[in-house]
Amino acid sequence: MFQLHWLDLVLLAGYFAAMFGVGLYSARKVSNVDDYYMGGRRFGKLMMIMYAFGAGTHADFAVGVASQSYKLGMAGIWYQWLQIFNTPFYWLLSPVFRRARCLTTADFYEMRYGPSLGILYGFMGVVINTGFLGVTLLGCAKLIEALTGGAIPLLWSMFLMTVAFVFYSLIGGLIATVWNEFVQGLLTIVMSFLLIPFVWIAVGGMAGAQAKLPNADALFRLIAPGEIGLYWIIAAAVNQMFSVVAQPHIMSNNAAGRNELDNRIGFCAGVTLKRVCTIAWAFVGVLAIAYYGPGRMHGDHVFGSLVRDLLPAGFAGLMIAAIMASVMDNGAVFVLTTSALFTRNLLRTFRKQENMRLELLVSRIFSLLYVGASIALALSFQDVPAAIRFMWNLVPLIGISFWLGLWWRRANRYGAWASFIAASLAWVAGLHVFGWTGDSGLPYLITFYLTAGIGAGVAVSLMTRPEPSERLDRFFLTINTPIGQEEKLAKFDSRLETA
Amino acid sequence: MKMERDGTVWYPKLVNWRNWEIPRPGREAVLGFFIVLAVSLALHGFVLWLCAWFRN
Repeated sequence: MFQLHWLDLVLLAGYFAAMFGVGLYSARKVSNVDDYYMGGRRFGKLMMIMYAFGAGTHADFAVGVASQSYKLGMAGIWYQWLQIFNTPFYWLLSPVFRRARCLTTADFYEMRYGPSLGILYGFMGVVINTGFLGVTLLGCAKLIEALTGGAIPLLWSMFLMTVAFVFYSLIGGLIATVWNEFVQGLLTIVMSFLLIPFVWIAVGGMAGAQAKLPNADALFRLIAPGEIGLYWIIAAAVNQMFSVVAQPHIMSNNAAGRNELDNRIGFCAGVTLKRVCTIAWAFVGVLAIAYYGPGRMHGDHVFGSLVRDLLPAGFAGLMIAAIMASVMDNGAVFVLTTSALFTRNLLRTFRKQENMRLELLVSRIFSLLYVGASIALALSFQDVPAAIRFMWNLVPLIGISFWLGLWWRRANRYGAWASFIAASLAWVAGLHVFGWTGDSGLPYLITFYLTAGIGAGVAVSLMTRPEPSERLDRFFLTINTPIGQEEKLAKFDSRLETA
Repeated sequence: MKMERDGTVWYPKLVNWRNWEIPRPGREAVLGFFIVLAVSLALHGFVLWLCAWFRN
């Protein structure tokens, strides 16, 4: 059935039964909006590590890295290796999200710049998450298509994955999702490395790999001339710093833990674990050149085809379970953060009266609409690396104002709007006027829109009225006051009232 | 941060430039930063070594 062994099917069914059991059990613990979106902020170090790892590791990353490595050699690793330079800064950044005491990143923008930026981020956050879910669905569907030799077509696997994660997020909220991340995280790590010995033996070890690879010396370099060079690496790494702060799920990644240290360790260790797996994906992609021959298959199918052709019965089922689990929890995280953005930051703009039960219901209905849009977007992407590059460019457009507002008091709402508009226009102009497309154009495109966004943000902020100093003082004091020291904020507020 | 109206210092800044708000990192922040940096560099070194090993 579906070109799978009976053992594969048994493992798949067993895995799903267990995950739905966890979802139903978790549903009993959801009693309010904070439980639903932040899991009651009570997760420990290990759970936070797996949550950060799982939320930041989609199956499409394995597909994308293996695909690029099959095309370019080890230089393809940069598609996920970039954050290796940024991770130490995440350690410093993590408490900002927790101390902000916000449920969504849009709340953060509103606190710093006022309501109009909250609404802008609300819209952008929904668009960003639609893109993320689209890319994830595409990557995973391509993998399943390759694993089953085309027996499960792209659209069908997308539909099945969607049913699984919508059910999962709707019933259990973040508690169910984090448990799923934990199991999926373990499975992803195991499956990432399991393939290596099988491919290694199949190509004939070191001697076989070096004999079969057309140019081992070039393929085992971390730069690919004309495609991925030093400029590409620096530009993409800087771009990633503007991207990470604007990804909607980063708020819960850094705020759902029991304390700051749990969040810091969880986030940094989760991101580092992902890098470790990236080595395996890139390595397997290069060895696939020796196994299949260069350019013999579509890059997006390399990872799945190796699993199908080389792993024994049962492992393909386990791999599909890992992929489905990855989509289930990532899909669930995207659904949760998107519905939080919609309900809190867009719906409340038009409906001022608070009604928690109604909000929960509306957020669940919106989740279904959001998922439909993501599937439509996924079908419009043709190639996973191109889809990843699209997301790399989209997210930082709104991330520029995050950094300006975090470090520079003079940044104001007019500057934030200007930076977003200028960066967006520069992105479009870079693609369609200057023709900076693909890997070769990426560093020029990034430099162009980041320079335009930062320049416009600074210039317009200097030319317009600053934000009120009381508002700024309260914002900076909040993000520098750890949870549990609220008396400091109360003291500040009372001084403000008496002044 | 120094409150303009009464001069109260709420937290120390890394630099004293008027409009900049980069807080001075605490012990946990500095120590953790260098540990994560060391792990990142070690991983990157491993990948460079792996590539060099295959090239030879």
